[in-house]
Amino acid sequence: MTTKTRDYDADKEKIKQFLQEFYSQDDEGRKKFKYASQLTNLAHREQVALTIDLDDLEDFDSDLAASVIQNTRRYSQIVGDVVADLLPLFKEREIAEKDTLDVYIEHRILIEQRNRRPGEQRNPQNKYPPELMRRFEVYFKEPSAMKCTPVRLVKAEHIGQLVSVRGIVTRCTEVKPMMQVATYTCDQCGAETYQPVGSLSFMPEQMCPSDDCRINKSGGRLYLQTRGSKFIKFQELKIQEHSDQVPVGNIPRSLTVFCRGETTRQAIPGDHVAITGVFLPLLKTGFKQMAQGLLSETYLEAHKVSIVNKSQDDIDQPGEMTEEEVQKLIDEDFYNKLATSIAPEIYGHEDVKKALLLLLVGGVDRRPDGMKIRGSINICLMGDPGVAKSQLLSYIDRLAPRSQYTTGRGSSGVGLTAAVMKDPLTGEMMLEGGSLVLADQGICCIDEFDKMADSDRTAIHEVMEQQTISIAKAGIMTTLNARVSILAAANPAYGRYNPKRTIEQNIQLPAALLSRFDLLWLIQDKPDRDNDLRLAHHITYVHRHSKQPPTLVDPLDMSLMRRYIGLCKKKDPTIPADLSDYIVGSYVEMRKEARNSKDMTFTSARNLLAILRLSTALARLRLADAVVEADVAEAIRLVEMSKDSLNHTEESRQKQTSSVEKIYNIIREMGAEKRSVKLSDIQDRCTSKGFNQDQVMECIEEYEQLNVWQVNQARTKVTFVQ
Amino acid sequence: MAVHCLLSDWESCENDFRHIVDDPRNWSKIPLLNAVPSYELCDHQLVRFRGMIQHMFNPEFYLGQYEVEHNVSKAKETRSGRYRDVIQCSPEEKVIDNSNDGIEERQVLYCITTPALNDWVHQEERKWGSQQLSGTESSKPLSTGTKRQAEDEEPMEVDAPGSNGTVSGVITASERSGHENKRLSSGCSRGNVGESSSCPALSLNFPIDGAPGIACIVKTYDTDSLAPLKLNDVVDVVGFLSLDPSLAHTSSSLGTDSENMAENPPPSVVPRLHAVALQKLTLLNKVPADLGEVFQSAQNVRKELHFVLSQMLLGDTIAADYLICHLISLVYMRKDGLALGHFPMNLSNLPQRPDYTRLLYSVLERILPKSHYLPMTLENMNTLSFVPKMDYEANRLSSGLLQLSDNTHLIVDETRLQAGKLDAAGIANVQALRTLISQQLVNYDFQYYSKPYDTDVPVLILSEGKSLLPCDVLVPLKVDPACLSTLPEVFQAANHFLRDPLLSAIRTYLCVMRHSTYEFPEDLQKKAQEDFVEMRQAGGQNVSADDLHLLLVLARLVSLSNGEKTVSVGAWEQAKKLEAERKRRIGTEHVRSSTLSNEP
Repeated sequence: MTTKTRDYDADKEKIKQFLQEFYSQDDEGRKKFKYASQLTNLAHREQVALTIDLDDLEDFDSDLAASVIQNTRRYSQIVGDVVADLLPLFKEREIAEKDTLDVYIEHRILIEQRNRRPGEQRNPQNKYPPELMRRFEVYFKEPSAMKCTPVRLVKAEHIGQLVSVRGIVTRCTEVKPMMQVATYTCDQCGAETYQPVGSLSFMPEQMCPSDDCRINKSGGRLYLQTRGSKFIKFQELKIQEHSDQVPVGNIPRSLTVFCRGETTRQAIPGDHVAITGVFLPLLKTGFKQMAQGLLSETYLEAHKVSIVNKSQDDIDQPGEMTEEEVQKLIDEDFYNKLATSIAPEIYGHEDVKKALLLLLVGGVDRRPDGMKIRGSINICLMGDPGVAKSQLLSYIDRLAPRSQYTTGRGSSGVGLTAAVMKDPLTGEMMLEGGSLVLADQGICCIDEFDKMADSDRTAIHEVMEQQTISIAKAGIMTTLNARVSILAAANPAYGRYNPKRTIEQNIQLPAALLSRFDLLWLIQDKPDRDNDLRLAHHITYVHRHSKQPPTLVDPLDMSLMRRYIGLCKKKDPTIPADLSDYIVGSYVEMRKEARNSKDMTFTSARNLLAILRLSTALARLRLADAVVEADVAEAIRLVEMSKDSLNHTEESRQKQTSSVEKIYNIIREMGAEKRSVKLSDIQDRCTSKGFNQDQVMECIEEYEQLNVWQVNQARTKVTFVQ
Repeated sequence: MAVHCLLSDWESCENDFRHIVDDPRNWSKIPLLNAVPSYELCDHQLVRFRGMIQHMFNPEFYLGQYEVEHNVSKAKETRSGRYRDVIQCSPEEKVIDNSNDGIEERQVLYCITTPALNDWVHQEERKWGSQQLSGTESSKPLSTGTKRQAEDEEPMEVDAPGSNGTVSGVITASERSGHENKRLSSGCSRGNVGESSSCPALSLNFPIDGAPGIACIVKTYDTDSLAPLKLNDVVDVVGFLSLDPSLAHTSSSLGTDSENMAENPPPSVVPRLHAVALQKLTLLNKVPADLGEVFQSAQNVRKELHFVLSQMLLGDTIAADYLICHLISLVYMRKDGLALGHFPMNLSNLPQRPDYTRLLYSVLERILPKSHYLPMTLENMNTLSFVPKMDYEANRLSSGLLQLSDNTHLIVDETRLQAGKLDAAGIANVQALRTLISQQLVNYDFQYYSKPYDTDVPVLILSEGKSLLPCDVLVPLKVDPACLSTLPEVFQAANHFLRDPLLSAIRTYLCVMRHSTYEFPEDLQKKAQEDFVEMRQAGGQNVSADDLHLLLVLARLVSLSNGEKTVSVGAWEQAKKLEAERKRRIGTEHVRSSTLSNEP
């Protein structure tokens, strides 16, 4: 608080100067008098609210802006006075009266001019209160640097100050006219008397205070003139703090907001709002003051009420990540680090988490003439009951800035897609969006995907490829956007996943739907000595020390993740032409393999698209503008791994562990026609399968020792020993 | 000596009283609002209140300092607004309005008598309160209602003469006819102290319908320096009573009528208390200062308790072991939505006798400080409100059955459930119970969103088959037919057996063990890990991480129940043995029921 008393007269002059002279330069370098032009509008009754941006005032005089924040109400009166003084100067033409009050005002001004004799002291009772003559309202807009104060922290020291809060509207009254200035006329002498009303109630005046009546003791009675009085729109709101601001185990606090004039009718119950206003105690009069003089109720006098979107709120609050933060985040292992930070309480499943990370980031949409190729990645998690599928889903739901969590059955009658509803009041038909529509541009997490209603199942085909929902119901035909990534979780039919059956049989969903998922993961809980031991260690540690064991990588904070993902989404990487051969090659290879082995999954052109989507998502994650080969290799690896999880459930374990053997098979296959294979070819092929250089070399050396093949001196060629 | 202190005394010599108040041991000398009817107390008197925080209002802004000017003499005087609701100003004086200076903030809490508090704790509480007070015999603060109650209590504790043979031998006839319904619906009946619900329009907002008790609005000062209070905390408050009738909803020009009604109820119904000192209570009954003794005698007490419980559980010693563990369980850690240490238990395969569950509860009620018996009838499920809901009309939290303070035992009697239809409310209630059991969370309904609140309510489900509520610890009872035939006698004997000093020893034992710290040694951690891996190898997919969690919790409880603060290998082995036996039983149960269902 400023301790020295401010010189309000000087401030008044400064504000006058500010309003007249403040300008900003537009693109062409021309001066734009922001407030002067508004004053002209006010003078012509074309504008009602004058909003002073404190950022502008800060530029003009930072000291003044600071004291406005400290003592807002005083300054809004000062600004009001200044504007009232200035307005006649800005009047460029005569304006037609809009309503009775305008006529009254004009008459009053005329009478005042006629009656006034120079040097005469006017009777203060008959003087027009300034509020009566004004048709404009003054509001302040908080400086952009000002942080939102949580409702909980609006305390006694904020009284009189400008604060901005966010919350959810829990109640609002109707907009009612509130008397701002009461006008009375006397039945004896006909003089008008005015009474400004500052609080919610007032005591009407009874006796005429004019000279005539007082001196003659005629006892003139006053009568309230409705037409001559000034009313203002008034609405009372009640806001409650957001659930995330409430400390654990506390009840959300609420705050009363008074809206007057232009700030009314901005919000309805249930809206998330940001309100800037002055925190004030409520003045009490009469008996109540005596009875409860100790207490004072408080309210927020609104200056700005705006509705915020919940998701928008989440995004713009933390702000852009700075270059520094990004640098700190990106070290060599950041892909793993980000992935492990997803649902850190769930143990293991690194590849699934990586896939989920890519789902959050999303691929790039493409729209080559009229065709639309979706960029959003769809993932389906399958698995035995109790393998933390739902936990993963709900974590993603919490992490994603825009998401919907639902079950396949859908909780409401609207279901997943959309429904046509009849408005009970007007009888009009209207569309109500289901979860998929509500999650547009976001993620829709669908638990119990296999238990979906049939009507939804047909609609979801369209959503997953075309990203739209077509409705033809009750005479309404329309197409709604549903640009969503679907993250589904499904339980196998008959309790457990049976590796001897195909996926369709296991999940009981048609292949057409399953193939629309870019990745299908089967999460299984299998006894494995090492894993079990690590799990047991984790659990016993938690029980013993009452905290999570320290991990190698510290999981990243959720909001940091959110910001980083937001940053990634701004990138729009392309696939360079020279990579296409590599991608095509890998795809052809996959098809071939699928044909040869007894594959339970399907390898189709959709897989190719999936690889492209995943690799663009990977490039986005690196904040790069172009996809590189490593991205594609990783994408292919993920696709392979997801297939692996489905195909080889029990017996493939050993196979998987010995990568050497796998590589041998690859090389063997390559060398089927000719006796020698180039080492560079081998390495290309193996990297596309997700093996690294070292593994390849290990394999080659091992089999060289076994005398299966020979490697030439320069180590460029492998020749099979016949 | 009873402390009688008025606010004026306090203001004149704060230090003298401050040292009394600062030491909680002196608090028993201060009249207890719960026990003394409010007509015996005067305005601004220093009193004490024990209760649970049911709701937190918005903070209140008040004038910390204000000046008063005498109309005639023009003498000015500065007065303090602390611990007061109403301005002190005689008709000859007027308050000088210094606008916003000296405005301070105080926190307003709505407290109610701790829900589901059992009779004996209440009596104990009242005894402390009245002992000190009744130096003069005249002011014995027991209303007639409580006296009658106390008399009724007597035969129950000592013996039930006469009416033997029938089941009601345990509960006397008058008790049965007069109190039974209330007793069952409210779980516990307490003395009817002071005015309860004299104003029909105003609900005092108790979680349990029809439970007697009082409510009180507590105003706390300097909240930043206090340990943060949470909703549903049980607190002991010492403060100045404020009974000024003008506090009844006259004040506000904001808000609706019902809101004013809720925030400013008449002080004769809901007194105001300006807190001078406040402490959170975890233990409700008196516990000796020296805990070492309790630990030493733990083995013996456990043996006695085990004997009683196994008799009550029809000769099933394993179930008695589990029940003891359940009775001392507590959520000792929370992390990322995971609550560790809770031990929800489902006793299934109960004998099909309508009175069995009630008899069982009548014993549990006598050893647990806080418990509530919930007959899971269709009607209860469909009509009771379980989840607290924010009432924006009145701007307060309407309580629900599950708004219980920590360590309140909830006994759900599923044997009462009949086939029928659950409506939407019923389904929501079942869902709320499920979340409570599996995660120890209650999602309070704030209309625009729901907010999870941590709870620590051990749930014991009594059912005939496996419960429809998910429950980690399913213990099918192995009934000894010999015990079944003598069921009434068994309970009669059990109640006879449970008397002081054993009874109070058991009560102390349960409380101390529950809140005791424990250690898990390094070498046992290794052993546990290896055992788990072995179990996985042997059991395959039937053994999951949850089993290990359960086993570790059980090992902790087994060792604590024996008075050991460090988990020993013995306790670990014992836990494993118990689990193996339990699993075996479930297995046989499963086979039996499946063969039954296969024979149409």
